[in-house]
Amino acid sequence: MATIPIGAEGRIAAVRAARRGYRVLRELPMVPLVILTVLAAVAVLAPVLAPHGKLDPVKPTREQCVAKFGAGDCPYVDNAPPFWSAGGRLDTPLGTDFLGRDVLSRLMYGARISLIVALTGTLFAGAIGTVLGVLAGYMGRWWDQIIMRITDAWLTLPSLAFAILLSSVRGPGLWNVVLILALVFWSRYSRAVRGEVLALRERDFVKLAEINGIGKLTIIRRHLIPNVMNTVMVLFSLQVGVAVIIEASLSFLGVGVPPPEPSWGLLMAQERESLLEGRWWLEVFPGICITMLVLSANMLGDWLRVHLDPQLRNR
Amino acid sequence: MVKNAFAILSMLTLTCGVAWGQGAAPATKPILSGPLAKLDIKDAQTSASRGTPKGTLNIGLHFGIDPGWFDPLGYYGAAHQFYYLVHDALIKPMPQGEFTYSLAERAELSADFRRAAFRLRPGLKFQDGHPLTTADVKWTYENYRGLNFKQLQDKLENIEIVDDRTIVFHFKAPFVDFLDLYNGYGSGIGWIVPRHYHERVGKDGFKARPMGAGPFKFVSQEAGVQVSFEAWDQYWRRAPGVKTINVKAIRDLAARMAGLETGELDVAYGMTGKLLQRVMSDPKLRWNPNFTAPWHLVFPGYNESSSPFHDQRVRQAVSLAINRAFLVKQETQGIGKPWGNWISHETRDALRGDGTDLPVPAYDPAKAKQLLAEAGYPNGFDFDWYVPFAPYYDMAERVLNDLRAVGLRSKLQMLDAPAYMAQTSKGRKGFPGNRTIVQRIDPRPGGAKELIRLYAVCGGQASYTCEPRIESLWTRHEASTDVAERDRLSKEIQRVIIDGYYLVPLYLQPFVHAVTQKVLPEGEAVHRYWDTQNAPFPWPWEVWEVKG
Repeated sequence: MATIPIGAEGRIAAVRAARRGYRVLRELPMVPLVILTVLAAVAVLAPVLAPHGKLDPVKPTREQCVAKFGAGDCPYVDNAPPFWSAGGRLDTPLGTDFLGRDVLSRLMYGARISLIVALTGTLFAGAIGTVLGVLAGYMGRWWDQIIMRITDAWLTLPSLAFAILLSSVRGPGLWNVVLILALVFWSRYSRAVRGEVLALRERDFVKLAEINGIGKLTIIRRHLIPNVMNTVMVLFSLQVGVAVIIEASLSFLGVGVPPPEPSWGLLMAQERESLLEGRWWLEVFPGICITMLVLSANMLGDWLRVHLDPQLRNR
Repeated sequence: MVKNAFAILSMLTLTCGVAWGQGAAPATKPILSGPLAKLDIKDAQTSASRGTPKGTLNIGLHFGIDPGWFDPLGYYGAAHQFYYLVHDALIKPMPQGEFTYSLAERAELSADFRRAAFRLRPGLKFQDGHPLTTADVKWTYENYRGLNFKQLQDKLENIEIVDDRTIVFHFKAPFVDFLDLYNGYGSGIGWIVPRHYHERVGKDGFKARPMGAGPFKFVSQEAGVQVSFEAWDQYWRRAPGVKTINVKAIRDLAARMAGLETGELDVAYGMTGKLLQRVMSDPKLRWNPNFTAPWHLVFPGYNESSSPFHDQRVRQAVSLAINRAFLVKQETQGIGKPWGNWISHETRDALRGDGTDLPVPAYDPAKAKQLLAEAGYPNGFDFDWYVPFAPYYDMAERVLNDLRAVGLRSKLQMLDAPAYMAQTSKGRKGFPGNRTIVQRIDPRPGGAKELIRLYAVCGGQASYTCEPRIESLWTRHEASTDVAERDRLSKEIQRVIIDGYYLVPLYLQPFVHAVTQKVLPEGEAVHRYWDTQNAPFPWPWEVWEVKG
């Protein structure tokens, strides 16, 4: 019989906990989580981390002014390249835009706008869609008919075109974009949640609650909504990526977040001409940010889908 | 180029001197009896030999197209570029002069400005072969509902059709400005709409498929995106040089540039901005600076006491905050000119804003901050919107950047051209609230007074200012039939507007157009297409020619 030396239990427990932690960590989608965490941290800490303001041009040196304009003084130096290119400087590591503003700082602040818009827009869409989906699935009859017919009609609308239409009615603005995203995407939630609730309402725990005379609202609140949250979370994470794209597209088309606020889509839109002139950094960096955010959100959503579904998880 | 200050002097002058039947029209017998005002209307240039239209001209327009712009009866905004294609007017601005005979071969104005008469050319037809008569001229006038229509209708007593070619307008009171408003570019009322066709297809049908007496027939349109026209070789003046004209709405400067470089476009408008240097240095392109009018800022609702712009010191601070010299360098490669008036240098009676008549506005951000502090805004303030004209968003952001430097913070409201023009044509009523700055430009002919009438007096259809002093001067202007006195009053009003910072001029805009080698004639002779005064677009179109 093996014996455990006195005092070793603590070490063994620690090793087991470390192994458990490692197993959990190994299963987590590290790449998207790291990217999303970094982007979220940058967004939150932008005022601290950004080397310059988001709207003000970087004050140029005398040498820069002379080199660019042949004069000792100038308000700003536009289109400075990244630091590794000829003419680039370390204090504007990713270069400057047409107004002499620091590209890196605008990207950092842009992360705030893109994340705020995408997260809150998707959150509102999720809230509206979940409530309507639960009501349609659980209440049935005309509730179901009315909500689902509206949902079906909504789902046929092409999301970007619909978003542009709403945007031209509401006008540009950060919170208008949030509202538009909510109005465009709620139907995807309500359709999925309703299907889930149709199955849940036939389950014993719901039936027993009904037999015990528990009110419908309480059943929805206590039993149905918690049970559809897995589906909602998966959808949420997948929709965030789509919302980022829609926000970027709206801003690119001039109906999203109004300038001079730095949204990533807008940064790309404002520098369309720059590619022709070889100023690639003005287009490529915001593009990389959008790609990273969308890809990470999709990877995380995919991971959640697999891990929250018992059938897929055990495969 | 004819476009220079000296040419302004050769434009129409309604002199106070009275002459008996001294019209510059072709020598035909007078229409009106009694003394006539002396007019300076140039003869139309016609071509004796009718060539064959050939080739296709693809034009890249820098904003979206409103189908409403095809119907002169509802004129607003940037419609004249299409009127010059499909429609024709009795008299209109042409390279020969601001007033040039077109459908009319003779025009007369009585010395008391109470009657105006026109005689049409013989044998005029619409594009469907239907005769164009004075009945169409009368119907167009009576059914016009576009810009300035109220004034044109209120002053009218009746229209007398003498015969199929002769028409007389009788006014209730002296209507000194009649020809300025009736001249093709002054409003939409001078462009003759075919009554038979308009009544048959209705207003919407006409917008969808317009028809007129102009050099090009409408062929097709993708609403807002592209319109195609085909030469009408029966046009009275000459057969058009080009067989097909496609106007494509391409808001994106880079796309227009790419269109020129790939040969998809032959002409592109609005090449000012980030790619101007590229246009200037491309040996395959030719470009025309096409100076139009000064950009200027207006403050809708400034005269309400709750508006921060109510205080003249704030408006002056706005002007002082803008670094016009640097703006011109960045936006126009230095070819624009900082300007001290909001009215085009090509406009009759306009004060020049280059220091000759009015000083070039100063750049003094320190003084701007001081004025804001004196006005009670030591830290500046946020205002609702800065509204630029599409697609000059970069320029707008540069201005906004200058304003932010003195503490005036806002965001851009990006409207596409039709929406922007519809809103700005309503004047103050087009913009809710009173904390907005609108960036405007208007290269309108008809003299400075037409711009004052429209934008700067209380009753103006697109008015942004309403000031007792301006009103008093304007009342005297309107009551006077002495052209010299009117001219003096018009100039005095311009000074009041600038001195009071009711409108803040920025710089004289070069609305650069670029053409490819496909456009004839080769070399610098191509600049002849931009010879029409006050014309933002290179009309008339019938003279354009392209290689095979």
